[in-house]
Amino acid sequence: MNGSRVLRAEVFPILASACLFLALGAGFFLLEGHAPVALFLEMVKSAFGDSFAWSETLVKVAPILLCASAVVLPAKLGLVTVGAQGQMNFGAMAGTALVLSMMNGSAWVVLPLMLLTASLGGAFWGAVPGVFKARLGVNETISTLMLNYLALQLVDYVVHGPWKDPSNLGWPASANFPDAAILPTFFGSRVHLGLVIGVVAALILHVLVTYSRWGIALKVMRSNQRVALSAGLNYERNVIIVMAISGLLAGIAGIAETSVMQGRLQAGLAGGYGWSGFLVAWLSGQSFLRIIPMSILVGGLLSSADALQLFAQLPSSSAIILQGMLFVSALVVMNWVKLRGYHA
Amino acid sequence: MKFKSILAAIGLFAAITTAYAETKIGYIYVGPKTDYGYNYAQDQGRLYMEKHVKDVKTSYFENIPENADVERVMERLAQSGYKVIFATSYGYLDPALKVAKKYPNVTFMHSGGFKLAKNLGTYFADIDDVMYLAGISAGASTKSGKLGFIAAHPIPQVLRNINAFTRGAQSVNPKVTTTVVWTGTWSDPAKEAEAANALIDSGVDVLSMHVDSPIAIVQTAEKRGVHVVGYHADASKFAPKGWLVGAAWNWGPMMTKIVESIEKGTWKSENIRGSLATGDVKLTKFGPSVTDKTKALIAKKEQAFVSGKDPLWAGPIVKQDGTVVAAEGTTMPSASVEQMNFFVKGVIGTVQ
Repeated sequence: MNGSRVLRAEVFPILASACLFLALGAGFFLLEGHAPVALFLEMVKSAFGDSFAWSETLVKVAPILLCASAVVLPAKLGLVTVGAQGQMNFGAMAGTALVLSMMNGSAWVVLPLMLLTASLGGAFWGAVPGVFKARLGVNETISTLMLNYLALQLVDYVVHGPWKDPSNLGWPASANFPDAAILPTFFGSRVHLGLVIGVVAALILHVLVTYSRWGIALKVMRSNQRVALSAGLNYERNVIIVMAISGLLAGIAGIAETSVMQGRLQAGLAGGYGWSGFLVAWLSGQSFLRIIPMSILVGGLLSSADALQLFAQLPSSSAIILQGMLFVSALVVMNWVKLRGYHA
Repeated sequence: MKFKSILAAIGLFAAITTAYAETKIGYIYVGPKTDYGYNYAQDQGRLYMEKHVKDVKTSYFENIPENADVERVMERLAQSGYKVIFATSYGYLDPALKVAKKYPNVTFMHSGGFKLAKNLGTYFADIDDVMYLAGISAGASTKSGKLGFIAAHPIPQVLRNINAFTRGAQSVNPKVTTTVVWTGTWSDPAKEAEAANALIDSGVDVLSMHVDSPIAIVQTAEKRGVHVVGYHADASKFAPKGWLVGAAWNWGPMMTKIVESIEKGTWKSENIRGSLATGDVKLTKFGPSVTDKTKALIAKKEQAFVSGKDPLWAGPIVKQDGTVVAAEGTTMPSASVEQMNFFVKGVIGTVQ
């Protein structure tokens, strides 16, 4: 690839998406009666301006990155899953069950077991739509979407019912996690082990899908099922495997949020991270490497919502609006580039 | 010479900035401040306080969920030089305790909680007294004898309101029952309207609520032609016919006192509780259907509460299952009122 082609294929779409996004965002700010440039600068400052800003951005990156990986892996097999939100909830619930049964255990026992049960819980919630797809041909996008609501209601049920802790005086939440069940955090901030797991998982998956035999097999199965069949590749089994791994990653994100951020199981633990992860995966062109910087960008965008409220008195949901604008900008540019045939 | 004048300039600048140093005060709301309800009432308090205390500057955050997000917002305020943080939603209590530990020089005020830390106090007011008074109007106006109550979470302050409302209604009509529907969230207008319709379909003809914004329920009541008792703020304009009366907050004076005591250095960590007598809670204006006789009854009872002669939680107080909580001639201690976990006789529903 020569220089000008790299420019056309790689740099141009990113720049064009960014410009379109900034223009849309500026229009939104102007409509709300604010000077766009100053407000954008305040947002950058509150996302990346100092060590506290960085730490709070990274706090959001951890679940977004894990959820993005949970979208990218199935995409390698041509599957579109939107189930990270539900898998976070189900994984968190499984992990919490373990913690509640070992309230006095030592951290060396509780932490690994908590991560393991949460992973298995998430993996189960991912494998279910995988089995539906493999055995019955059920559309995985619809089934993962529906299972999100089911997991959400299950968490709602346990925190309003059997796991509601009497010391909360009627407030719907489980008992507080003991210190032994809180994942380690770094530098006195809230940045936790989940971030490390997220980065390592993305890197390992990148190596696996790019260089391993399994990765090549996924590519074959995705592009031509007839060839795959004659090569003895089992598409059905691999659908279940990638969906389970995808759920496992989101399950870890769920228990990390529950353990470090909430300190107990309560509704709303998944925030909108499952959706943000989906956005990041698509913005990154389903690449395990690109989701890392992209998660940092989107995490920063979300945590800069504070600046919007503090300096411009805009509601916090403005960040969600901006996130939507970012997605739309990128989709428009990507499709335009495709139509014009810039991609080699 | 030049050096000296620079020093002098710096000194002057420092003197001016300290003289005009404003205390920065942050407010955090769980919903929009325009909800004609809980958050609106807190925000009215903020505006009043800002007007009445010298040299303060307030900022506010809306729509901050009761999860880990609120910790970040509190830290952001603390790090940006905010000296006082009003954490106004019930679910902010544990996050506020966590952040308060990290920022000992910032004073945290939590609304409605019952836990303290060195630099965290709570403030609230006995609005259940007012709900009792409003309940009198409900008991007097119901024809079916069935009242409906739509509420978010079975926490003590909500249970107190439901029980007080029911006992107020029973004081004029001993046979009335209150059916409770839980929504499980402070704000879900669709669910609230649905619950209101279901209650009305089952024969309920007076509705009341404990959710953040009363608007959806008040409007549904008006549309279906039943009466409604409001909560948090005056929302009578949404039900010109059906409005009976409401229980409302008046946070301004209390917040003013709190901030003044912090500025003077006399603040101490405590559970501040306002009352009808101190004007922190009050009745809203009456709707057109409330008779003068009922108004007089309510005024008489209000006097009894204000004078302290006849407190709300004086016995006999009997649970749903018939257990006596406070016998005739005794009064429930305030600590057990603050941790209430039961329904009184006449309430239909469970505290789950």
